[in-house]
Amino acid sequence: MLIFDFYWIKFSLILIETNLTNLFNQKKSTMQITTKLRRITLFLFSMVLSSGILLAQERTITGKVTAEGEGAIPGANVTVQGTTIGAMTGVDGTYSLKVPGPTSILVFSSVGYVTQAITVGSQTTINVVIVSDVKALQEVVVVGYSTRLKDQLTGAVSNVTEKDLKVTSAPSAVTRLQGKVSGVTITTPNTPGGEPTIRIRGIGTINDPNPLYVIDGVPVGPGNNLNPDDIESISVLKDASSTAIYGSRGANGVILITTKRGLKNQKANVTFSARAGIKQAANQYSLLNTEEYGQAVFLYGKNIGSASPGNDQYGHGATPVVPDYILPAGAKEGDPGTDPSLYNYPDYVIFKASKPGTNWYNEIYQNGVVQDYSLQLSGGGTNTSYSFSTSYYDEQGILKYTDFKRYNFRLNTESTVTDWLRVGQSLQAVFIDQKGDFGNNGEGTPISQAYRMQPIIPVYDIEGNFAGSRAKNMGNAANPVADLYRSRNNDGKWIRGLGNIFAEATIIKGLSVKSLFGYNIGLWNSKNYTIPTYESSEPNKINGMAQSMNYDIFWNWVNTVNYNVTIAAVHKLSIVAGTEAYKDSYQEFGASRSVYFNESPDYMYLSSGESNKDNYGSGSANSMFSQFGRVNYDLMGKYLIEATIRRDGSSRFGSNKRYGIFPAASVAWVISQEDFMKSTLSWMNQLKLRAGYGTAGNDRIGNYNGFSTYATNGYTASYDLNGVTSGVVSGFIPNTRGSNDVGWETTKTLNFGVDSRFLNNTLSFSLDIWTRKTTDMLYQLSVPQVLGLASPPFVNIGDMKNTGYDLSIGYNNTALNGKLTYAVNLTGSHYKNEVTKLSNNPNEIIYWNTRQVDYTAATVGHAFPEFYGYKVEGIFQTAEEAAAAPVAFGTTYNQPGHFKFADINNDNAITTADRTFIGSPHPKFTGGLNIDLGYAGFDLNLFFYGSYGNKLINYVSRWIDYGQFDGGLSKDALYNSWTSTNTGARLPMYDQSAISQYNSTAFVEDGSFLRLKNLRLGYNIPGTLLNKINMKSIVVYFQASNLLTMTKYRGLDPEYNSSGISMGIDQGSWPTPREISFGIILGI
Amino acid sequence: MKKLSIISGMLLMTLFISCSKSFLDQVPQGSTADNVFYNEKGVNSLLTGTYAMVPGSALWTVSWGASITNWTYGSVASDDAYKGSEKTDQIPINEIEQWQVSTTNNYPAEKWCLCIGMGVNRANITLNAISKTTLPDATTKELVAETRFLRGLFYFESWLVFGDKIPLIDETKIDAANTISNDNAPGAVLAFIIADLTYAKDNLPESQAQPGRPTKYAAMALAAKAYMQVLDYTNAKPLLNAIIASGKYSLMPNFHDNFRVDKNNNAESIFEVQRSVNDYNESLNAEAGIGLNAPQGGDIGTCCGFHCPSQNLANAFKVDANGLPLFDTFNNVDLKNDQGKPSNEDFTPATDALDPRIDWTIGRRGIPYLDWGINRGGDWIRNQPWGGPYIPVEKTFFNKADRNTASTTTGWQTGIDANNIRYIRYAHILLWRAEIAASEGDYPTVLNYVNQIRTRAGHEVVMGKVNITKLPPSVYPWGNPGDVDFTQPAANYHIGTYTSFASKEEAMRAIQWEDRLEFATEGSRFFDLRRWDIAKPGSMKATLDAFAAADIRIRPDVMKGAIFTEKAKYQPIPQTQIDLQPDVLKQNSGY
Repeated sequence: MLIFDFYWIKFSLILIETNLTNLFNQKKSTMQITTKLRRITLFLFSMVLSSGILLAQERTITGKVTAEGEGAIPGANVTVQGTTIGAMTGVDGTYSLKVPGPTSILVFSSVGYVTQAITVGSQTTINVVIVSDVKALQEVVVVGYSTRLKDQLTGAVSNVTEKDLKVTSAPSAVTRLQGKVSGVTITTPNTPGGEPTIRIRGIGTINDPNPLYVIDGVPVGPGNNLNPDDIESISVLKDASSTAIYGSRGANGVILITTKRGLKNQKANVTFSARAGIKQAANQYSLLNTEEYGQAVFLYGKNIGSASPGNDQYGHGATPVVPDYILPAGAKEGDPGTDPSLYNYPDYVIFKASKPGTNWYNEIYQNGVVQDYSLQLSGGGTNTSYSFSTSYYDEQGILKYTDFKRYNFRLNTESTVTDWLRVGQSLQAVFIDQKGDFGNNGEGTPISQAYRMQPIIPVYDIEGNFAGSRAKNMGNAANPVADLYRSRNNDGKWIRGLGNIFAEATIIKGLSVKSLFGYNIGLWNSKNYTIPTYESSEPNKINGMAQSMNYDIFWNWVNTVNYNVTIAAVHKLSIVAGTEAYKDSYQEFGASRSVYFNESPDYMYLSSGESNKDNYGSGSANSMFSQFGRVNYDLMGKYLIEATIRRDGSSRFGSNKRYGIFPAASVAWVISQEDFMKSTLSWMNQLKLRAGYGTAGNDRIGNYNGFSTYATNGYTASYDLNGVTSGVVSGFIPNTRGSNDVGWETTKTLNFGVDSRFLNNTLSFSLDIWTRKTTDMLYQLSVPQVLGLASPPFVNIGDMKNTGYDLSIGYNNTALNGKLTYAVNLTGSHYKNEVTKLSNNPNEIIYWNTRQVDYTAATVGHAFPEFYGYKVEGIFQTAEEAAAAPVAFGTTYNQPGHFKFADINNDNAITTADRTFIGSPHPKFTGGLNIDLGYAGFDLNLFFYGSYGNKLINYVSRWIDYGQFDGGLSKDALYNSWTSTNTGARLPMYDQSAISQYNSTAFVEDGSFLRLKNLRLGYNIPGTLLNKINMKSIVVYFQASNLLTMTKYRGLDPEYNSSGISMGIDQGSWPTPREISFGIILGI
Repeated sequence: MKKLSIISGMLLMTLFISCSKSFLDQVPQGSTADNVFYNEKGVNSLLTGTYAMVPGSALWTVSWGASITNWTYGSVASDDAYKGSEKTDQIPINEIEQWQVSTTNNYPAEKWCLCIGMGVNRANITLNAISKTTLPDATTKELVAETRFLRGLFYFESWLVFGDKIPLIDETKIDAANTISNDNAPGAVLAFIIADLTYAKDNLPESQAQPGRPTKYAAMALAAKAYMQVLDYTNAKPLLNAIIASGKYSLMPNFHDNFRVDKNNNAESIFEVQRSVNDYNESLNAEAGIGLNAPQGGDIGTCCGFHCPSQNLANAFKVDANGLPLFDTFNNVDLKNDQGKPSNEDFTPATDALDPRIDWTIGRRGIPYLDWGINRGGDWIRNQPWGGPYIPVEKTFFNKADRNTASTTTGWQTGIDANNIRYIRYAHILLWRAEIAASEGDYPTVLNYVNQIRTRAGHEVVMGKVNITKLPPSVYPWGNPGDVDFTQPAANYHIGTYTSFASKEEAMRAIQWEDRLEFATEGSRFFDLRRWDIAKPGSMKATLDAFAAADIRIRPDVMKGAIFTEKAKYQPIPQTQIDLQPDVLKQNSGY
């Protein structure tokens, strides 16, 4: 190995040298070139070393820096080249500094202007007119291990800068990309501090399709760690020609986050920002009140043919009667059982009936206060720049007793040690402290218990303890207010240190080597309390506490050589080559005990628990070693070519397939630069065509796929051989089956793109059309159970295909003599996903079910996943119609008021074989529209986001429309369900039929929506006023999110977070809150 | 220049360190490879891992559908019990109850997964490990015998549920198991089971220090049970005789001793499934497959109100003046119940003469429910219109006094307890032997064994006559002094013994009735009806259809239109497995 790599680096050098050779058109041996390089370097060193000695003939130079059409330029840097001597121009643009002698070269620089160098000679006054630098105003885009000017890009890369990230307020920086970058789909869970789900260009794999995140060169998890204010820019690498440099981890796209750094020769800049606001839930289900619920109970009885409809709460009379009490069941005032003196918690409790009906959503919702403070300090001296920031973010959830606090610290510094050596570091420390029950999108969470509770149940009993489903006929829901209250001390604490140190040496002009060591260390600690739920019909009567901790230690070491050279002003060559090694190790342990004498969190520590002493622990690690290189050639700014290769060796793969190579190439042609396009330059500023093809991989299959293992297990491997009734003998069972012949899955992307700008750069248009094929997709092959249940290895067997386009259009201009600025930016994305192979069995199908009903499936020829179930052709209206239809499931289901299911396979019977694909959760189009207006210090941003063509399964409907369990019911269950007199109803007869609840088209709803996600109105205090109070800038703003939604979806929120095989199944999610806040940003 | 050399050196060092081969070798943490098991401790560990599948649940890999109690296939599918709970809870059981199981129903799939996927596979892995390990001959034989007993048990359980269409995989075919057809020759499955049990019988000791392990007699009893499934009386008879002749087993003094935690592993037990609670969270070592079968509601408040005794079963306990069953008329009129009657209204339990086992089996309103208090009827039932008037079966439930020791305290299935499942008890042996005697016209033997059972049934009855008809809410659990008279039986109990039988049919009918009452709700009723149908074709359908038709009196919409068909005698082979072994596995006929 050593030999190989030695050769490899030698090869890289040869590559560089060969290129040099060709460019210089010299036919010298590589050895000679190397010698020459060394001489040049030596010479440069000597220069550096001697510069301090040459101090003779010192004198003072004064002058003024102006810009064409702008007048004096304050704050411009004037430095003596090769020294630390420098000055800054004042407000009138003048400067004064001492220079060593006539050979000194003064360098004038200012951000946004072309740097000028002037030899002093005999002059004592040097006035300079500097010109604005169009190139400098161009965005610099971070690509893997390097940067590019935006116009030089050949691949599909989107870039978002600080400015774009500022206009919305999501706590996660990555969430703020929503609608701003084409080709990226983002959904958020709406829990406090919640992590978004991000998909770049659809779903490239049935395995973990998350993109790779890299912060300042260190691969990390999603962006929740970061304070969004710390971010300079985010690059999204979308096609394989861009992501191939990340090899076996790049297939699902790469998100590169760059944090802010100070600038040299810059006075300290201090920015303080503060924002505070409230979050509210905007939606709730329309549920029956107590009286209506009684009617529904009677309707049910009539529908099933009960001799005495009703129940013990609402009675069995002619009509429902709302009782005064539900515990004792159906009791009236004066009933001896309701005598408060009998009350003896928890054995004898008394629940009053909630007569108007408890609105459980009102009970669990709160106005969550959001506070966000951030302080940033940056600046730099001649040799060192720094950027420091600290922030505090506190978000109360829209559900009671939930809270998320995040504290961030960041320090980025960089020093030029000598003119050839630069060292720097980044350090970020994050502390997260969350409290409460964040359960989401599941039937057991508080947000779902709110629809599962009947309205007649009060929140509290007569003595102020919680009431619940313990009363008769109240189903089995848990009081969500009690859930939230009892979870109020459940906490999660997360400490993370993340950063890097690096050194970069410039060997000769344009050639630099860089070594970066990155680290990301996280510690997680959580405590969960179990408090008895005596008020429930399925109570937990014993208290308990469980604690878990884990750590994750990651490091990577990247060594790169960068070479950039321009030859004869037309050949620009940029080369990067390097190696990267990383290791990630993880350990966790947890413990729990039951029976605590006291339920105070001050008391409930593991040692105080008396029973059920349980614990667990585990660990894992993986490592990778890689080599990579990339060459980018730019001829006259017209013809751009880029080629990339990466070779990865991963511990995750079998020893037979440990190494893999990922090549990619792309080209671009800037047509607008061609002579024959000169005539169009008046209206078309840029037209660039791009094409790229490349491969990238995905290695996320767990760490030990190659191993067959056995394990012990307290439950599934143990048995009470001794018959002691509490205690088992431990055994061993087969745990995993390994395979050594498994490598990464490979994704090949073909990408065509157009970038263009028109009308004096006011209108821009960019389009990428792509196709992405995943081959050797890792799939945990379903193994017949007769072979045992040890989990089978992932094997490279599946194929998947995605096609789509990403589009962005922008227009920005000014009006009213520049007083009004306006910009409109539209992004749009479309993808189509298709599984082209799962296994060698063409009929292989993966199902996802909940409550014993299959909801989604994935198989060849369909997207991953699609909804799977029966097709409803209507509701039977007459007995004759029902009798004529194919018998459903061998039962007497077919009757008036029940669904008529389609006989898909025409066998004259409805069976499970009649299920088919009934809709797709994948949107046909998602898009964002940003509108910015600026006038007289005011700026207004409107951000719309929409999704079109995606379907959702409203699983909550199974509960509230069809009566899964005896819980809360929708208004439709009563008023819009079939009866002999309401034959046009949306729902079938309300009889809780399990068959009506089988997944069918009746549950598939249109999930399209258009939402005004964000509105921000800011005001910049004018400069005249600022000068008086000696401030640089003050911005005050008002911000509101989720003000308006247009959708046909009946659930709480069409925009919700789900992914994987259960994508699109709305099981009751935290709805997108409406947030209204005010903020101020002070620049000092 | 020096610095440059340092940098270059650094770079080279990086490459060197990074690419040392071991850097990419990461081995699994916290688990082991198979080569550590080839010693006595190792094979015992694998054997224990095989035992772990005996109870039938391996939460959360497979769960309720895999329970060894067969409460779904053996009880809910029969005339003994209802699904209970609510209409829409665990909807796969609705299909089982209504005899219309889909091939995609996940309950039988769980039974398949557990018995064949996990049980048989683990047994075979253990056998292979034993064969690779050098141990004293006697030790090896004992280990093999235990393992083969377990494999026989897993196959027997699969055979009960799926019939003959199960692939027969021995330890030599472990890697090719997916190529083994399930289209067996008639009798092949039974022969396979008997081969395992015969080896076990020949090599297991007569008693075990650890009660969880099978004895020679357990192997014989299980073999007899297997023969009884096909009414192979010839082969069953000597096994049963040997067990009886051994003198090692006897009926416990009281019927209810078979359902008490403090009487686990008693003199009547031939093979018990051990249950352990509170060893870890959620008590998943306590056969959580019946974790849903505890009463839900009121102050009992466990989980989840499934597996409620049927009205038909309650009716079956009615006796005539001689204390003998009402064979022909028992279901004409329902024993008085409180269906649809709120708990706070007047109610007096039936005064009919009843077999005393009724109140050890069925939770009836107005009768003391173990030590939990007077059964309050509807208040203790999750959803009476759907689940019927009776509380989930008392046999599996625990005493209130044991609630923090013998029952689980964590998780949500808080009805799980440490009451062992008496998989085969001496009463089974006696009644099977009586059945053989009846077929031979050997009435004295029938009378001897059946009457032993009936006499024992009268030894201990549920005590506590409830004197109040309206239960004030304050009387938790027993009300005011005098409200319950604990010196009096809770109901009008009467049980008599048989004096003679006029015919084989009469004797057989008495035994079958005795089987039903003695083992009611223990998961064997459906399979018993099926095996008796061999001798009297059509009897199973007649019994079940009559049950369904009459049941509409209690639950108007559950069994409406339900007809028992021949295919419903066996559960379908899981479709998912047929899909994975398309040319290997065949579906049961009718599906």
